[in-house]
Amino acid sequence: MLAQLRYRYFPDHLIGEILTKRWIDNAIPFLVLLVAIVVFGILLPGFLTINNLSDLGRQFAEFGLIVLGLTIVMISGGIDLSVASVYTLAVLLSLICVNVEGWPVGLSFLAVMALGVVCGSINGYLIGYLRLRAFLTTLVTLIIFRSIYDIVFLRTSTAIISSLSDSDLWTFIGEGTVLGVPFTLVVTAVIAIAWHIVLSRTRPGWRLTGSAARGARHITRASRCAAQFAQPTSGRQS
Amino acid sequence: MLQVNLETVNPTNTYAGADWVKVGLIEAQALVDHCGKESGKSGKVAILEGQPTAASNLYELYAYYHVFADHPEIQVVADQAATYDPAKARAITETVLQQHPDLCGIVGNWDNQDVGAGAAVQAAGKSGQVFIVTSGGGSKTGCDNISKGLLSEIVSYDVPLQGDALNQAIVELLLSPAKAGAIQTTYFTPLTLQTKDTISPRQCWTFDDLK
Repeated sequence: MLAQLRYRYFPDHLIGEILTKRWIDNAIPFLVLLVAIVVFGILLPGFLTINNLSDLGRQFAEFGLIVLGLTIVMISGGIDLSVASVYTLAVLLSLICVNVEGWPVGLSFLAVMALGVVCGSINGYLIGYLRLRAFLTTLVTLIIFRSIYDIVFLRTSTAIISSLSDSDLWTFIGEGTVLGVPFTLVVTAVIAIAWHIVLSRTRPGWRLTGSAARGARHITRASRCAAQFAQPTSGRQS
Repeated sequence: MLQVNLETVNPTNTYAGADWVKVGLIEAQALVDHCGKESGKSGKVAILEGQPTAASNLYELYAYYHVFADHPEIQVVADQAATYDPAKARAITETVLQQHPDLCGIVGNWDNQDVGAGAAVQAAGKSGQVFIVTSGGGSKTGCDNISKGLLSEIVSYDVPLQGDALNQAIVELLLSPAKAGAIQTTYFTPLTLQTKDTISPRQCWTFDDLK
């Protein structure tokens, strides 16, 4: 009797077909995200307020940029464990440039981009040209970059804490909103959409997502650039 | 606005907490007494900072270097940040002890962090040689650490007393007819030196005492 009900009403064929679709790998985490938002929205009293959501949005934008860079590397078959350390270095450099040295935001932005390119090139040279294993190499560069950060931060911490930036643009990048949406979230969304278009509609993008082994050098460098692209936005929040 | 114990560089209406420069001066002087010219020891000291961007850290560093400037026999061999993490403090101290086996003293930012340094010193068997001075809230945990020999001296800024001062300051702020920001008050809590000879149940508070 129970078996009959089970065969009649349980949609196992439907679920099976959905699970074989191409897009299911991406859909499941997204579904979990939606469920998490709904559950926490019910359980926590202030969760779905604009204040909280825009705060979460800003944090998401920071992680989102790092993850975007890492995604591009992983889509093409490599791996990069040092993204977080490069990020901390970039944040430190942006704080030093804008707060301590007082450079204009545009110049600091270029400096941070250059840092990203240098770090990515180191990784890319080691992995692409010298053919070292990506996992171990990026693990080591993670430690190296983090150590550089620790050394430099200790020396500059006094200067960082005792200086403030007067730049309005800097404040807007960190705390401003565009039509109610946090500026950093907008930037991350724009970069994500741009990368999607590049990866899915342009020839270099097809080459990136095509062969895995070739072009690892280009990939790591490009991913660094992408991740550092809006560094001052996240840097302001630190 | 009321600031509690960890001052920032921007002064507000009221601050109730420790005078960090004074704490730093006391700690540095303790090191000079133990490792200076008269002691006959190597004069090498290590500094374990807390959070490098905390104002209390800056005030203490200023105090240390101010005192050490007058005593050239004191040599700062290491100045690292343990960021309130005892595991990090332990790792840093182990490295420093390997680099300088004749280390004389360590000064740290917080007693719960510097317990790690004490553990490293004990593991190296140098408890009698290295003098560890730090600052803390005066809890029983700190006193126990002194009894166990992990720390040599704690400059206690008496956290329960800070709580009392805070309540008093809040009442004053709320009842005062003055406009916000018009009057600025600072209340530095008195400091107690806790060493093996001076600890007593009267100064080492536990959570149950406060309930």
